[in-house]
Order: sequence, then C-alpha cells, then structure tokens
Amino acid sequence: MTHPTDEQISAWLDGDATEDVQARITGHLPRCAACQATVTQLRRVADQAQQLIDEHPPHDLWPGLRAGLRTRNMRRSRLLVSCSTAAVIAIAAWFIHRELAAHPTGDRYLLLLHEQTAQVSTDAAAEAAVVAEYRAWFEQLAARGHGVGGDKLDDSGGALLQPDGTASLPGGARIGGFFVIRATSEAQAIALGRTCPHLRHGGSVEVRRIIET
Amino acid sequence: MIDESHDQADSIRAARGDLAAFERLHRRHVARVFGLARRVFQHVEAEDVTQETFLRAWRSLGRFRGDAAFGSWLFRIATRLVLDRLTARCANEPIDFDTAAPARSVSDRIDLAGAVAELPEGARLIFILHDAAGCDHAEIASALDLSIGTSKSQLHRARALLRARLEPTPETLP
Repeated sequence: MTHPTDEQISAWLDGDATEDVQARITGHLPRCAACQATVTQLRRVADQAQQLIDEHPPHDLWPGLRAGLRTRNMRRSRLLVSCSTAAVIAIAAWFIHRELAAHPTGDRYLLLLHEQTAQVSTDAAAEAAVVAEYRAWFEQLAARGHGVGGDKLDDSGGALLQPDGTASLPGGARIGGFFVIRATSEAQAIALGRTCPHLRHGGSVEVRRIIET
Repeated sequence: MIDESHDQADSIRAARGDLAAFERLHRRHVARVFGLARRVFQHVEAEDVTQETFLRAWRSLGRFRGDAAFGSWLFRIATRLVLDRLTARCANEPIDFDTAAPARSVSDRIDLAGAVAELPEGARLIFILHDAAGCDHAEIASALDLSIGTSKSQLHRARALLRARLEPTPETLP
C-alpha cells in the first residue's frame, strides 16, 4: 500500500491538494488507520499553533508605552489647535464688539469644532491665512443674520468625569472651540455648518440645537 | 479567557483618552501581541513591534467600531505590522528555507514551541503567520516575496516536520 506523504495530507486538509492527490487520499483514508492518525496529528499541529503566541514580555512594557502616548498627545495637541482655534479666538474677540445682525431669527445652534490628527502648519503666514479664512466665513454668516458668537477652549488640562467617579484627562479628538449660529431649521444649521472652514482643515463639526430654557 | 465585555467598555473609555482604560487593555492583550512578534523576530525587535502595535491602536481607537472583538482588531494591527517589517526585510535579505535551526532539545520530548523554533526560518515564519496568526497565503507571499504556491508548500512542509518532531515514528526518524 502506498501512503500519501505528510505534506500531501496537510495540503489535502487545506484544500490545496491536486485533484489526483485528493482522490487518492479520499480513497485511501478509510482503509488506513496509520494515515488517519497522521490526519489527526497534523490537525492538532495546526490547531495548537494559536496557543504558541501567548508570551509575556520579560519586563513591563506599559511605562514606556505610557510615556510615548503622553508625548504624542502633547505634540498633537499643539499642532492641532494652534491654527484653527487661534482663528476662533480672533473671530470671537472681534465679534463681541460688533452689533448683532439686524433681524436674528430661528433657534440657536452650537457648532462644536472637533480636532483631528491632520498636521497643521504652524508658521506665522499659514496661521494668519487660516485666521483670515475663518474670519471671512464668520463675517458672511453674521452679515446674513446667522452668526452669534464663538469661543476657544483651553486645550490643556480639563477633566472627563465618569459615572463611577473616576476622572481622566480628556483626550482623543478634542473640542478646540465652538461657534453659535442662528438658523431657521436644523437642516439650515447643518447646511451652514458644512461651509465651515474647519472641515477643510481636517477637523469635524458637530451641529447641535440649543434648547432655550 | 479574556472577557470581551470588559474590552468593549475599556475601548470606549480609551477612545476618549482614558489612559487607565487603555492600560487595562494593554495588560490583557500584551502577551498575545508580544508572543506573535517574538515568534517572528528577535527579542528587541519583538518589543519594538509590540509597542508600535499599541501606539497604532491608541491612535486608531476613534475608528474602532466594536464590530469585531477588540483583541481580534488589535491582533490584526500587530499582524499587519509584522508583515510590513518582513516585507522591508525581505527586500534586502532573502528568507532561508533550507537551514534548520540548531536543535533545542536532545531528548525525544519536546513541545510545539520547541519544535517550531527548530524549523528552517522560512517554514517557521509561514507556519506562524498562517496557522498561528491567521494570515492568508496571499498576504504571506506578498510580505516574503514568494509565490502563493511556495507559501502553501512551505506550510505543508512545516507541519510535516513538526509532526515528525513531535510524534516520531520509525518512518520519520532520521
């Protein structure tokens, strides 16, 4: 009796064997206890492979990882917020000295400026251009009666409080600032939000209606 | 056994910047990530791969939707990183498919980990990547600069060698 090789049986188990070899093994196995044992052993080798890969590092890797996470978070915060939220400061400081538009109508909506991980240039010229872009956009809103105001949020410190009493540093995609606008409907607020330059700079804009109490 | 409900809660917290939650995820899953890296690389690089895996996971948590188990998602990041490093290495240094590693045990008794360590480098990598890490042959072939057929034949060779080493019979003894 000619037995298939271990490699042929392994290929057969995975469906990789040629038709000829498949037919030979399928016909041979019911008559051969030794090859049946080989099938079992090869299956065991493949199945046990996943257990191979649990091994604790010889020393604790968390301290080094934590240090790396904090360094990256601090660097990212500085890059992310420097341009776009500086623009919010500039616009808010300018706007509080302007009169409100003649006929404000509709509900107030909050535009929350979420930062993302996009790299933002920090040179002065680029920063000035971004500020001008946000200012021009908000002036247009104000001129049409939609702009109410805005503010920057401190991008350092703060706390994220949990129901279980724990507190942590806010992280991830932080909110760098906000605008308040007026719109006659949520659809209009969303449409206005879509024009915000924050989106072009890689951030996201959350639109929420303010419930007047 | 890792409780996936703990993973789900901690991944949500970690996505919001909760380092304590991310530490818990790290401690539950570091053995599996390091173990995979250690089966492929030497110790220092395995640590580096492990750290980089968790750094990438931290950066990507905002995109983790919870439609897969966190451990599976994390392991996929690790596997991708391992494959990328192998791709870079194989561009300069072909994988050795012929030279068996020095025998670690002179006795007949050896476990699967010991037997895997004795495999030729190429067969060992493919066995680990396919049977342990769940990579498909297309991924392995691309990373190691092989044909899919070679990846398959080396896998079957690895299994045959392991079976012979773990359960020797008169026919398989040298």
